[in-house]
Amino acid sequence: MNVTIAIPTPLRTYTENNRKVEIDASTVDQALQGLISKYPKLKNHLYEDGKLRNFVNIYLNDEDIRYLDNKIDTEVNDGDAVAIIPSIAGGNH
Amino acid sequence: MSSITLSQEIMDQIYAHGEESYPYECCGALIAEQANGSEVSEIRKLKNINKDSPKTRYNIDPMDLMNLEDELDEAGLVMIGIYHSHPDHPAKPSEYDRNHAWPNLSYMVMRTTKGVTEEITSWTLDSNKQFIEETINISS
Repeated sequence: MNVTIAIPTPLRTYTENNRKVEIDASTVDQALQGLISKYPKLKNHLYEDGKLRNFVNIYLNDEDIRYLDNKIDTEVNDGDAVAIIPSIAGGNH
Repeated sequence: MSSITLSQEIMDQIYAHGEESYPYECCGALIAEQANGSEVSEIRKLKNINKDSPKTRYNIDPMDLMNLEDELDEAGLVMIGIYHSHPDHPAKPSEYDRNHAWPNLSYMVMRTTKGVTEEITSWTLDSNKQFIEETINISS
């Protein structure tokens, strides 16, 4: 299945400034792994100890995968849109 | 030392956002033209969706961010940073800010004391994920 992954601005340095990357995959997880194989420098910004960092949101067709039954193992269809969205937060202490 | 440039008019808008949001933290995006990525051409106020402690924390809705990035891509613009306020706290990024920061963005932090913005600083992550201060240039 051919899916398109949207890359957020701060990470485009690691994808040769591409804002959309097409990957052939069967699940969201495979799509992300395929992306990292293509652009290895992304890995440290997305994963920590082999797991997706808490500060990374992954959306599949505008749905947060945390709320999908199979989460990161959700199957994808041809033409699906995956988006990597940084969790942007802060505070004074 | 890296730097970020913005006009006094935009700086005033950022200060005002901190003041109108007081005593809650405000947040927004710093936007530039793609061809001129170090000069802020406009800001976009974003909603602080933190429900638990909005006086000391901010969170940006991921969907707001995604929609903004789509809109900017279409318009030939790019988000180059984030600003937020620290009500009654120093204009310096906290450890919490650092932990949540992303590379390749400027983080502007303003101190708003009793409803008046007094100071603003700008920071960016180095390769060791430590904040280094940036120079803020005011364009004429």
